[in-house]
Amino acid sequence: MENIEGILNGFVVLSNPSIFIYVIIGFFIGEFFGAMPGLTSALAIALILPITYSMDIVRALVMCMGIYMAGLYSGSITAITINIPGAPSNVMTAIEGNKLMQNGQGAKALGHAAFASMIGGTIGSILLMLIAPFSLKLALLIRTPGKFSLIFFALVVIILINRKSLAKGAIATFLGIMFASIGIDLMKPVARFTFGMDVLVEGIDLMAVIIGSFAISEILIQAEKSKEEISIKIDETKYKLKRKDFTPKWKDIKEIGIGAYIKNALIGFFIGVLPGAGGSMASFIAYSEAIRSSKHPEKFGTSETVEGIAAAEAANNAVCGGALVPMLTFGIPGDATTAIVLGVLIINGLQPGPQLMSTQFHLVAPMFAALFVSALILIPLSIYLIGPYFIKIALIDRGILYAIIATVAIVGAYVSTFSILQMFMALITGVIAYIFRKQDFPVVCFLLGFILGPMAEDYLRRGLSLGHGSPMIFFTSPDSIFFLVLTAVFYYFLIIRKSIK
Amino acid sequence: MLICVALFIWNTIYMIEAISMGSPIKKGQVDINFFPIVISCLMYVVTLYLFVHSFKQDKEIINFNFTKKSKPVLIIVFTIIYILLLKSLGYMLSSILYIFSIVSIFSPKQRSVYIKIIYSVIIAILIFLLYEKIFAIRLPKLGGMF
Repeated sequence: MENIEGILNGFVVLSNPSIFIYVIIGFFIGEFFGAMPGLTSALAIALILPITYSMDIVRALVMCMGIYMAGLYSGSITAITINIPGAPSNVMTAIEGNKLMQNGQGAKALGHAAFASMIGGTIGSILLMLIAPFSLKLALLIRTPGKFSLIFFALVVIILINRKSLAKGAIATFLGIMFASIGIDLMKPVARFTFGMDVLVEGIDLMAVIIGSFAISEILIQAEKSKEEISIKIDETKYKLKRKDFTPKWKDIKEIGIGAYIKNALIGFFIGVLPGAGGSMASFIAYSEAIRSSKHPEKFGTSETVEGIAAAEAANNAVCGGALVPMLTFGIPGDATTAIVLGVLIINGLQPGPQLMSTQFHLVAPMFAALFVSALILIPLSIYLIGPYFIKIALIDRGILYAIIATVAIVGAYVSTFSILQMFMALITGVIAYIFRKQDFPVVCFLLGFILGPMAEDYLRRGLSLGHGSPMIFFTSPDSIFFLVLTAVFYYFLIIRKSIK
Repeated sequence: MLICVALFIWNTIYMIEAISMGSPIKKGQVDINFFPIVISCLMYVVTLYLFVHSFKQDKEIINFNFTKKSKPVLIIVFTIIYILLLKSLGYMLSSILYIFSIVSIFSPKQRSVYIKIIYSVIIAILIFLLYEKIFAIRLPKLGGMF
């Protein structure tokens, strides 16, 4: 009852126009960044992160929610119109989406993508509101040894989920943990890993790591591309998008089935809950499941069906709600964007976890409301408002755009830390992330390692201290055993069973 | 493979620094270097695994395209200069130069130099207004002006 009241209060706070405007601004920023190939909503939040210092925390958080929801949806715009997914989570949407576009049915594909995103995003945020209070109760039961095992579980899952190369995922995670260990120790007031340089005593700021990994690395990646690769030329008159065609036909929705929308939203939500798994995995699994359960699997990959688009888009937007559950209740981000939202909370002096949810729910509830409103109202509204101009997004001058991003990133690193060292750290992290991306190392593992590493060390040392130096405490306390068994179960399903198959 | 060597060197430096802090277990309790040593050991194992694995697979000839890599290198160099100049030269002047250099790297022949300068000035002013006027965040200024 208390929770329902808290959530309703969140909606009341959001109804204040001076706060709601931030959701709208965030939504359109997210829509732009999501739709631009190469730019993601994670980058958008990384760029506004330094500004949130001077903003009211509720406004900053609702803005992030607008960006997050819009970013996951709007990648479908360029996936459909020009066959270049705006974000990795929209790769599956391009398969049939662009075929429909070529057939002159682009508006239909965009309409279905928006509709599925709306359903997925809405279900995801409802589930978040329902599940978060329960997972909070669960979080309150976990003691120090259990907390270590939970973080250990999260770190293992982050590595295991990186199916392309477990070794690369592990290296990126370990490097993140190592970077986080530089500076003052967590429990004792002594500096460590300064390598003889006094300046390193201040350590590496989370802000510098975020700006480096997402903004600077992106600029370097884009700089490598030739002019032809980054400038897109389209004959706009050939692909006219009309507003009336955006409304999905009831016949098509019935063919996909309401149950399918709900199923894909659930897939997206629960994949979002897993640490390290984001929108791209959700849309991939939902798309595969849609083929498996479809009456007409032969139509997939052609312009004859929108089932694939609906599956992928419903799932990737439901990720938003799912990824926020572990971030808010345990401080473990579900994906890159929530890792940066976690950064917004931390730099504003809030520590995600049971404490935040139980004592400062009034700051979190408007976030839930913003996510819900972004999905249910802003997605359909934006398609009717700016849908016909979607194609123009791809025509923006990239040189100018990247110059703006680079400047905002560097100035952002400066204004948030006023430290030349942190600006250099942002650049160094950017170069490392650039090399990692070129070599297929997952940058998100690096970021999550950086965030979770100190937590793991803290709980490990506290746990060992409680057990008088004996590690047995992790194998005797029930909450710890639960997460260790869970880790083994995940290891079995993701590695052993897969290799047997 | 090169990346494995770089990671190996970094990990060794890290490990030496960790070991130099003394014993990882003091008076029956773990010390500040215990967890880093564990991570560093794991890093050795995984780096070695990746090295051996990539050694087996790496049959392709390394194709290092210098012209392709020159742009990211230039951006890194200009960013270093920008970071160094930002405080002493002030936001406005250093940013105009930085934006001009980035625009020139991305679209070298697309526009005339004058147009690029105008764009750089406009972008620098817009970012200045965003930080200083909308969000009231102070930026470094030359002589207290820009």
